[in-house]
Amino acid sequence: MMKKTKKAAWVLLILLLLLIGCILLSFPLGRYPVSIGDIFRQFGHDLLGLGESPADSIGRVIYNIRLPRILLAVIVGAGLSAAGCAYQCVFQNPMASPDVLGASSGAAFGAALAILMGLSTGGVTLSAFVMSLFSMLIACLVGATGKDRIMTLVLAGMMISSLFSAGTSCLKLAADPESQLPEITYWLMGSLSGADWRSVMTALIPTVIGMAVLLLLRWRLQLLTIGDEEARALGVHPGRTRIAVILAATLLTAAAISSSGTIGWVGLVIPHMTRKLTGSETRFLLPGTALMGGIFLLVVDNVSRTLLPVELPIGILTAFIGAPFFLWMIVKRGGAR
Amino acid sequence: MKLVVDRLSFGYPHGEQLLKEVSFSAQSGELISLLGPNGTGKTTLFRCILGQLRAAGKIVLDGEPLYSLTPKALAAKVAYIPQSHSPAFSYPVEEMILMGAAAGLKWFQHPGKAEYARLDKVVENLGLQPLRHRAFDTLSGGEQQLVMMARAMMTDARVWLLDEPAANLDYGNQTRLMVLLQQLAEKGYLLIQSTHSPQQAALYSSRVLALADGKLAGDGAPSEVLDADMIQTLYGLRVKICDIPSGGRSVRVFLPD
Repeated sequence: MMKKTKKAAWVLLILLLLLIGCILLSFPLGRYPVSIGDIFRQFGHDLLGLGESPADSIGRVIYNIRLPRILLAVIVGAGLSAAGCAYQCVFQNPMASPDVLGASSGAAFGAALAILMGLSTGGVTLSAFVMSLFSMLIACLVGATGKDRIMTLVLAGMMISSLFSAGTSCLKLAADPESQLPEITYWLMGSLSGADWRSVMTALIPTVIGMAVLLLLRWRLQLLTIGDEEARALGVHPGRTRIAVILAATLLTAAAISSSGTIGWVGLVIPHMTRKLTGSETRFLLPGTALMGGIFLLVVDNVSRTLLPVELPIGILTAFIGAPFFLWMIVKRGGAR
Repeated sequence: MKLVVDRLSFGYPHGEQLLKEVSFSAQSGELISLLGPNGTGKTTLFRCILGQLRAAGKIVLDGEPLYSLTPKALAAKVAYIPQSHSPAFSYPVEEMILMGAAAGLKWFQHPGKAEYARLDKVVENLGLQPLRHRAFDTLSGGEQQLVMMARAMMTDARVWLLDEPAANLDYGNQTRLMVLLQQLAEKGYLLIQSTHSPQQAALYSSRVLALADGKLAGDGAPSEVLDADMIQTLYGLRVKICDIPSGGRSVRVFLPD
């Protein structure tokens, strides 16, 4: 009787295995040669106490360079995608995502502000979160008006984005051109190249919290997509659920952006790709989106660091993929379900 | 199950009074048609009974004032069946129906075995097996209306408020739907449907509430309430009324003059 549930469980399992496979295959990529065998030997020795560990230098590359970068890619990809999926449900709008709504620009402004003030990494995340939340507030207020709600929200998001980008530009003017300005500029481009254990932890903690809330609420989330009046008649508090979901999704956005800059479009593209696999039922869609986002960003990051001798900031690559996708969605709107 | 609506009045602040001292009582087994011209307060009345608008006056269900219930408890007693429309995303029929289980679940709970077992029953009751795994937005209007009713059945509520359930259906589906509503009323549901068709009200409902200008202009059996004067009051239209005998009872037919 629960046929659909079984199928979706299989899809999720396959995605999980795919993610693990991608993680393993990502270790050997990079300038310093590390083989798959080295990885198994290293982890076999450290985790299970089997055999001998490979050379120290290999261990250092695995633990200090490759592992944090892989983890950060997965965390940020999963976080941004899950946030996009949550926003789409909350606003009943297939075009919503952290960047389209302006949440990303808000977070970027907040983070830049905190960097300028010399705050700690925790402060940067907090500042990103607060500003991002502020941009969501505007989006909620403006997006509820107008006849064509889907487009109104998208346009409102554009305005909010542009406002916060202007703010960020002002901050750049004030920044110290020797140290702070390059840091802010490079970070704004969106890149995972600065990944170390500290940035992993900065992103990990808020991502785990936000993700846990979304996963726990994932069935309720679906009730927001049928409209407030109907949800209320079914005994659901749409207001409370919406606030909880927006807080969690914005926390995910802030965590991703303050740890690795503005990596755009992931939150728009991935939920739609996943919908083709799991269907729209949020019980399966949300975890599927998180897994898929992790896989996607890891793969794109691998390309960004190996394709050319010079590393491409990953934000540029995701924009090359995401922007055409967004255009395609606008053209094909009615069918974008 | 007895629903008592006692001198219900509602108006938005600084706006016109939309409902003026509406009183009626109804019980399980009734299929009531709520008639009235556009903008006369039919939807407002529904929204008051659903607790989405707080009106002056009293609404009591089985001795319990409705406004003292939590939204969850209210949802388990009174269901709302909107005109069918597709949500922003496409869900399978099964999933649409399962949403009716929300009131019985805690914040972090998902539908489990018990809910699926109830779903099976509801699906069978309404003969929805062939549609079960179809996407909701690919269904016809009549099929969508059935799914909405299945969702209401899932909530366990015995009082149903239906917003023009037959409005977008073809003649065949309209008739099938009304017969189904009659059967449900016989099973002990209390159904109140808003409708724009006096003919339909006369044919199928056991009782008519006529709402004009926010006031209850008529309340009773269709043959008592729906006379030529009432149609004139409600719709500003002169009609001729014929009662045609059919299978042991008489059927009222309205003919525009």
